[in-house]
Amino acid sequence: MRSAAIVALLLGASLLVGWTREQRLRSQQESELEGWLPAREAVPGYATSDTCQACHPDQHASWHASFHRTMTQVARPENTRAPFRGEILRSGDRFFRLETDGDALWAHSWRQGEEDRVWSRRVVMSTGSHHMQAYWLPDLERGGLSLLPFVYLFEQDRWVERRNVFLNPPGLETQASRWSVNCLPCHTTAGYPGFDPQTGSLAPETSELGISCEACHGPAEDHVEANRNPLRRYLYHWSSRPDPTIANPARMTADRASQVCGQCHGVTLLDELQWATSGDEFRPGDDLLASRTLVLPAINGDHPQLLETLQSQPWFLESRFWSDGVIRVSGREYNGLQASPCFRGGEFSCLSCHSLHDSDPEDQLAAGKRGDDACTQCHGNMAQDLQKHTFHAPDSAGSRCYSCHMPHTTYGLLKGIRSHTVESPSVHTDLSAGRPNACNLCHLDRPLAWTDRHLQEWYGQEATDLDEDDRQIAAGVQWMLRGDAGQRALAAWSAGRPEARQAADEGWQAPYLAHLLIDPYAVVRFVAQRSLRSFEGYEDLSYDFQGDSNQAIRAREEAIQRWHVLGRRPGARVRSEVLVSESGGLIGPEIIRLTAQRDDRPLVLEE
Amino acid sequence: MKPNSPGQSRSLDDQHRAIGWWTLFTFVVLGLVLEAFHGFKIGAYLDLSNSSRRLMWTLAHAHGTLLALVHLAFASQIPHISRSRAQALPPASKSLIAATWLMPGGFFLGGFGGHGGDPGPGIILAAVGGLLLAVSILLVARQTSFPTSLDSVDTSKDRS
Repeated sequence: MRSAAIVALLLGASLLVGWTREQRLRSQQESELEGWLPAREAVPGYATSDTCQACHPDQHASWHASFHRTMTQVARPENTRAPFRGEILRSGDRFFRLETDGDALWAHSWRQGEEDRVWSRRVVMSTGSHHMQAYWLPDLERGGLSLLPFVYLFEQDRWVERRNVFLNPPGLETQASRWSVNCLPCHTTAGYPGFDPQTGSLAPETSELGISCEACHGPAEDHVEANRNPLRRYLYHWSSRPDPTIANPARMTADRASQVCGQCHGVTLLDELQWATSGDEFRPGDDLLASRTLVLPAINGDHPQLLETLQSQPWFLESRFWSDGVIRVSGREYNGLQASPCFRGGEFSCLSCHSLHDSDPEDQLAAGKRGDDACTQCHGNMAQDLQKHTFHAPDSAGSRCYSCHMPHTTYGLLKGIRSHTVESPSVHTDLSAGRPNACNLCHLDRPLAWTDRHLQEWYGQEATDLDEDDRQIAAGVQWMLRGDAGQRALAAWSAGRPEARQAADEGWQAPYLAHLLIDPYAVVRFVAQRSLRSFEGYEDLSYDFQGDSNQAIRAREEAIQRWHVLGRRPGARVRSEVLVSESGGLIGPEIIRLTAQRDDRPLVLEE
Repeated sequence: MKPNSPGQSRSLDDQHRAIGWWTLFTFVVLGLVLEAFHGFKIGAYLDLSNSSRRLMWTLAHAHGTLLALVHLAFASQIPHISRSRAQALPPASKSLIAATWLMPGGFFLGGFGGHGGDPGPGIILAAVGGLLLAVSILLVARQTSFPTSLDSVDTSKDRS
């Protein structure tokens, strides 16, 4: 009996020691994690979103549901969409094993043949929570944080190499991002690198990880203090006056309200040294353009700051803009808005269509602004006889305002995204800037001449001088075969869109998408395989866009063979515009000719 | 009205006993209504945008119910308060009755016309009611504290 008690005591003591050690280890790990995170709640004047919740519970809840909040998060299992369940990934000659241990995520890495030299690093933060998620590790060599070379794609539920989800020329590694310089300004609230020019060191600070209330409403400490007084609060509740202690984009002029979004959703140039040492001067409600230069190549292409930037980064413009100065990458909608005739009217702003607090987090389109209402709030006369204006059936996609005036000509996040330069379709812009026109992004199977003829007949546009190919060969085919990588990606994405498949008839797209399975750009291959697999008969096509060229060639051949079976339906139309012959086969020489003309200039799209 | 005359005491007893039971009934019914709002998922009460109303009405229910019990406790205490100290009973009674109207009523009205995390302007009545309740309790507490030998005699007389 006595010995049993002693054994129980010893067992209990050893369990207690083990538990204490475990707790100490966890505590040490948490301290180490904190050491790699930026100093938070350290920026003067900022109160943080927790403080806002007490008085603004609805707004806090809608923000909390948004992807803005989760743009940057401390890496913990509950914030992470990737499995981290021991999966082993390979990038070049380096392997990574990803694991979860309690509350911590870990990456263990070794080089091929050096399995006995494994380093282990705790994942510190994640970026993104909507389409994909990237992960940050301590960079023990350079200091700061560096990216795990893989991202997790939510839709596909898989890891892919990070370099393969951004539009980069083959062989070109993505630039090594440094979190405290590249991501901090827009993926946190009031973040800045804390650069010390004397020592060259960085000591990043931020009010809050993620994009929180004060990113759009400005620093709120004074607002919080002033409104501890209930009399003041009720006076403002009952009056229509704005509270001067806080910025509210809904009460700003259209220009200033858009600048709140534009501080991140715009291509701007600023004094980087000033920003790095003391933070951004801009506060919501200020004139953004007083502290930054908005890059609008068609208007200020000769701005000294831009010219200086072009000297160090000659690709700066072409990696962001079509050649006519219209933005071509996602996340920079403010530039598109600024270039819109609607914006110059003075009443059009981001908030005309978007809302953070009264919207679907998916695209932040405000309630009631998903359809034509967004446009007819100003252009009400168009709604009275829609078909007279659109020449399409009123309930069809062709009669939706944004189908024609905001086509998917910006690229990002592995898909086409609507242009925020509101404009009318034009074949001329297609020819002069390479920017696909709205008509042919649905009617992919029609030549530019067909579009040009309709635009002349319907809207009195002037005729465009077109060459033989543009008169005979479908625009979609040309974009996919001889466009630049961005055009190919957009065309491949459009080919899979239900609206375009309805407008352009089905079946002919498959061989062109199959052709893009061997494209030199990983992103083009990814987009093409996704569109191809959306067609009946190709869902199970065996293909990996990151795989070797042999499997890609095999997949292309198999897809084309399937098309020969599936595509030759009795009564199918002869489609010379899409290079399908009377026999139902492809007109090979033409395809070879156009492919030889492919725009292979190296293209990076800085989304 | 003379303090603590037998007729008045009975009147105050009865009055507070009646108020107590009717108030308890009223706020138990309100509690049932609020439960029904949960049961039928009534958005005007449960939606996040109405969280302030939900809090206010819950407080109205809780305060009303507790005040009903205070009335019953008050009624039960009246016979035990000595004649020499009973002069504070009428103002305490009036304060308690006013608080019973104002506190739950203020919370209930505070559920209307709110703004963000702030309740509607009716909430001011709850604050006034709270003050009156504190006054009432203070008056009663002063009469029941630190009994003197004379009080003991008086009390024993009353009991006889």
